[in-house]
Amino acid sequence: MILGFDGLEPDIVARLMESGQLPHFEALKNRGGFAPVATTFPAQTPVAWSTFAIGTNPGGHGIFDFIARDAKTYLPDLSFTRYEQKNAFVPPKVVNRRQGRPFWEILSAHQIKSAILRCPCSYPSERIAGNLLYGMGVPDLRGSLGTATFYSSAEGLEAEESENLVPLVVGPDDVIRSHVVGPRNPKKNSDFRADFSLKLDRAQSQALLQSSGEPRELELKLGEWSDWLKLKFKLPMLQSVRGMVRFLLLKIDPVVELFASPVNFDPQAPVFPIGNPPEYPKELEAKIGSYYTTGMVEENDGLNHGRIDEAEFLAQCELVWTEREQMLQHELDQLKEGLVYCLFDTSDRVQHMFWRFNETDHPANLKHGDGDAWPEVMDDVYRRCDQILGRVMVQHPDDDTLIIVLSDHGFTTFRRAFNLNSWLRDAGYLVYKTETESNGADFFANVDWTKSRAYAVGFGAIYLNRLGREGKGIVRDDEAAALMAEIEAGLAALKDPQTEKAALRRVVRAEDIYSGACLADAPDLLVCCEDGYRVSARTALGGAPALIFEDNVEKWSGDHIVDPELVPGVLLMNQKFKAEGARLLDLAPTILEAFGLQPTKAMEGRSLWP
Amino acid sequence: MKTLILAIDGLMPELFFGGEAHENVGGLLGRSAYGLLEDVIPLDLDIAWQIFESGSDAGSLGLYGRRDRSNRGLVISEWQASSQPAAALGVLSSRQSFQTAVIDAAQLDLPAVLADHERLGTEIEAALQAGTSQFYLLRDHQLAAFQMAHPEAFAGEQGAEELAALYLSWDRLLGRLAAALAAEDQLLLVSTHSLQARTGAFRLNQWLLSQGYLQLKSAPDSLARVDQLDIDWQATKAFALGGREGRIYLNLAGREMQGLVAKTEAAALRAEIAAQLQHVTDASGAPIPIQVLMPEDAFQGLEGVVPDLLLVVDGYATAVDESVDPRDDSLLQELNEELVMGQGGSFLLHAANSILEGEIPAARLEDLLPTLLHLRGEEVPVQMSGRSLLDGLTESGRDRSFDEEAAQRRLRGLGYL
Repeated sequence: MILGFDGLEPDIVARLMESGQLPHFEALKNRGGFAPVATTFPAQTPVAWSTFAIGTNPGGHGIFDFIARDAKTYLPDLSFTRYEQKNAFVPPKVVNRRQGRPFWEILSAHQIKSAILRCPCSYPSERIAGNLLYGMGVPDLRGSLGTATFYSSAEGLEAEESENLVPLVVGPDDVIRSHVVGPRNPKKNSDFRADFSLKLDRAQSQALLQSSGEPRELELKLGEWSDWLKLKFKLPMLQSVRGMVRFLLLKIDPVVELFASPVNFDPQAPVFPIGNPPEYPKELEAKIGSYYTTGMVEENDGLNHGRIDEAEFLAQCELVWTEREQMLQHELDQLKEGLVYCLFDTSDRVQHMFWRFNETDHPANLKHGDGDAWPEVMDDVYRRCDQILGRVMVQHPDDDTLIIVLSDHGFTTFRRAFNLNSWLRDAGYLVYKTETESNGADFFANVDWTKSRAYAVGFGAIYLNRLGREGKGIVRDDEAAALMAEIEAGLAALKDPQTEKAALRRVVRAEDIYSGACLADAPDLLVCCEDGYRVSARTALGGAPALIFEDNVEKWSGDHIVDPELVPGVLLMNQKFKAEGARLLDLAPTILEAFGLQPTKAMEGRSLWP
Repeated sequence: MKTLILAIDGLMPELFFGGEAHENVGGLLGRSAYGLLEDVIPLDLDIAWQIFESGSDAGSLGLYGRRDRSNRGLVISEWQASSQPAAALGVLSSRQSFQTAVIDAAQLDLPAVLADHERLGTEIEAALQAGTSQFYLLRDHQLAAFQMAHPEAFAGEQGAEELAALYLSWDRLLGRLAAALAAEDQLLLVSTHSLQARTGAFRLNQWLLSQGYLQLKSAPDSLARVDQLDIDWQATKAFALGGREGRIYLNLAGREMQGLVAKTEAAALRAEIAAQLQHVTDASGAPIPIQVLMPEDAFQGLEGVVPDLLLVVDGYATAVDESVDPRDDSLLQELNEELVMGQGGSFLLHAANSILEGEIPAARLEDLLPTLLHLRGEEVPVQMSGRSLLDGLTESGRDRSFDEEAAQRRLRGLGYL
């Protein structure tokens, strides 16, 4: 039984255990043990859980960052999946970019059943004995990780990043006609839509949403997340796709505002399978009701852009905690023997958004001025995790069931954003064609690749512009080592002008941290930030703003993409284990051995059993 | 050297090119150039054929809709295909034509259709063998007629098996004819349109009337077409013709019989109307999605009486109606959903000597004939506004902005960004 809690920080766990606030964590610690567990280079969710599943360093499984780049075009793209299309007329097929064999496939080969709920980068996966419900990587109906929609009757609004904005016009009798924004129609550069009408009842602070979806009539109450509305989007050529959406009525008088979640795949008819066997998501829905199917579920973008507030965000998180628990319970009820893994990622998302409330002088608090508003939420996350563990322990009081609590990385503050590409530009490694205003825009607009020697993509990766590997590469293999040494020396000398202190803890080379079949896809260098710093979003997408450092004033105020040594995850088990030096890498061999199986040759870790 | 052209109306690209059972298509795709065609404007089967046969777009031919305004009048005659420039150009004049039999679409007699395909296969094979012509042309409207008569077949209901059998038979015929061609020959399969559901009509003249651009001396007694209206030309600034697109004409001095709008005012008026069309709402206040096209952007050439604005409503799901109804001033008329010709034409070009392979983005219908001529080593007549798809091939490559947009979209919602 593996309970994954994304992003639990060992220091916080230790503090709360000491003050008796995590009784079940404490009990597990006393029965087996508690240890920080070394995370991956870099400390990112998809990288770390892939190492957990495959038992290799990223060089073995090929997931090096949230964001990878196409070496030929230099374009950043999502690293988890790619689409393969035989020709323009057949629908594309989604392909998982993670390589290697997760340990549950090895269990399956030995007729041991597993239920793997929401493991990142499992989309799509091979059939196993048991059930898989895919997690991070599953897109919404627009093919994005999650594009919510904000509706408003106010004028002069502009869409924020990662959202659709739909203006509302209140018609006669307080009826509004609008639509849910469906998939993109690339041919027409427009969106497919599903219409609805909204009848306002301002006196009762509610509205009735009518559509051809299921249910036909959906009640929206001010400030409450609605139930799911299932919809059909008509496509040309007489096809349709199904999706589902939740609403939150934000304001009703005088301005009307409405928030709609990204359109999730309908488990009854997803565009691509979201589980394996493909019918499993349907069965699950029959048992526990409709649930979020996208890989990243929490509405942190809506909160970050101020479309919804903290309370509304937390209310949505509670829906997620609850449905995830129901999934877990369903599997615990039906699986008598085998492996259950369930990831709760809400712990990570809440910490990202609420870190600042435990840090008075966080730059974001200066901007938002509400730094003392939510002092308990961070600790509540941990107490919520403890509660979930408690419910599992009650059902499995004996030591026959191995219980593992695991987080993939820790957590820390995010105060300053580091524009790594801006540094590469200022140092002369990233060269622009001419001096124009668009220089520095995302996706390497206007970069002169015939003169650029290095570039950064993702949250710390530096790639040399290598001859024969990159589309317009110029750096010869025999020049690479000297160039890397030069960049390393430059970055080592870099200080944040605000503090006069180093912002980077170290820069590591791929050859020193990675090995395996996917090594060719690895970045050449990885920048490991000091506590409080993170490589910026602009750099991640190939942009280079004017300044090298900027304050992070976003509500997204905590993070973990710093030097992995600073943010180990958490490991607790109900059986004694070798806690010293435990790594995520070691979990796959440890679990296989618990089932009496040998680790495969590909696995790099060692079993943690004494 | 022989060129075989198979022109199939209403081919649904996903069904035909994506069909798992279609072995011949599957095999050819790997050795051919293919793609979806850009929108064909105006959306009209006969004009599309003129465009294909002349290698020129509709503007260069002066064909802006089914109804012709070349007499500058409003009493509109349908143009005559035989008098059109495409026929005059005569590139395809040395051709041998074949046609599938006309069927009663409602009562699809599948064995008869399959026998008809068999007959055509034999006849065309023999003609290719004889080799007396340069071009061989097979036109089909059977498939379109069947599909329009049986929309439920697409949902896997009645007629679905026949539909699948029809497509499969086309796959076989394609394979058979491809095998009958020699290495230096070319095969072009083209469908100028696929099918689309149409659900309503937008009353464009009713809207012009409501905005005061169109003025009547007296209201009609009943529903009236534009040429039946008692128009006050002294006060009218613009009027429209309907169809799958809408065509707005300014009442331009020097062009129209009783022109009112001076040439110097035309540009501003046109921009004003185009801007207002972005804010049209239906009775409930919901916006009507109208795409306004400027003819100079939509066409390479601008012959004849050129409309001042073209409108596409709701991606062609809504047609444009030119009539005015004295008893009903609603702008949007709901029609029974019907399957009609839509955009989404497609092509497959197979020629052993062609370096053009794989998916070709943004191919236009008028580019196909110049491409065939290019492959045949013939001059592309200067009158053709279309361009050979082989032109500038060395420079081609994927459109970066397209990839960029796709990547951006995929990353949307990653909170770290």
